[in-house]
Amino acid sequence: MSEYIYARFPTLFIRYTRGEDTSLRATIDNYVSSQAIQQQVSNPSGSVSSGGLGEPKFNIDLSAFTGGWGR
Amino acid sequence: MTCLYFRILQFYDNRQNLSLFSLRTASSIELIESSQELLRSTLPALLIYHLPLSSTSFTMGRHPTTTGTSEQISTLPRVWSNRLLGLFLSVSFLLAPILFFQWPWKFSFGLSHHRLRIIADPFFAYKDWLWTSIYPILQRIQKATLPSIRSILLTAFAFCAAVFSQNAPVDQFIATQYPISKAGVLANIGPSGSKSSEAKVCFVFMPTLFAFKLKLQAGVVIASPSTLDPDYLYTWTRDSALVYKTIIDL
Repeated sequence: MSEYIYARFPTLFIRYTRGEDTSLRATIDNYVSSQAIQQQVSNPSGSVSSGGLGEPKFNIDLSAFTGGWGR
Repeated sequence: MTCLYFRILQFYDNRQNLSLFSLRTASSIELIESSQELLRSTLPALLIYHLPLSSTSFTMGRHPTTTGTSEQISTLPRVWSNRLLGLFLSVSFLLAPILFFQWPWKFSFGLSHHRLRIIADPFFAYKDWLWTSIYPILQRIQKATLPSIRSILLTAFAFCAAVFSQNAPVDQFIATQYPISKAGVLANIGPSGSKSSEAKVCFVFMPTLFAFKLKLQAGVVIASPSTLDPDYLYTWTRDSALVYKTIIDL
């Protein structure tokens, strides 16, 4: 119970003082780490240094999508 | 305000030896009574509407979370500043027709009238009151026919009523739709989202053609759990970024 309260307190504090929802923080961190992987994947548009960052479509395991898609 | 208006009328009537009143008695009395009745019936309603009904109205101007209950959900939070803004807007809706009649009058006839000797407006009969600023408004209103005054005021109130009556359904819709939409967005994010989990389970039983897509990375936004007709179980870079921009804004 005490751990619960101690774990919940900063969340509630931030929620009621700044109006922010910190329960999505883990999801956002997941996105950051997934982007760290995805942006280094070599794909049909190129690699990191040669235009690969403009690739629109990836597989959901973050490997490059090599099928035909409007190009 | 009505009393002031009535006093001004009395003042000018005395100056003009009651000629104004004798000319326009019925019209002005009806106008005064109708405006009194209008203000008496609607101003308390406006004031009460803009008062906060509970302390939960103060939500720091942010979207409340799905776990929070009985909070005011609106894209325009009802803090005191917005209530005052609404009050100001409603009052200015009331004053808009008066200002609308005063403004072109002042610039077209008010200043150059006594030099040019042009009486373009048949309503303007009192040349010696050119420099009294309030009079052309009252005169214009008095000279207008009563149905037109009524229609102007009723139009203004219809605007107010339309604006105010839309607030409650919009707030209700946002309050209902907000958790649904938020859950729907989160359901498409791996690996904990419900839709993406279903997609993963589906892939276990999918033929080996799509077997390479089995492992869903954490934090990846899937476009759709659909895998056949059309196969849309991919992640789009721009769409993911937009989804996460929205999530961060929550």
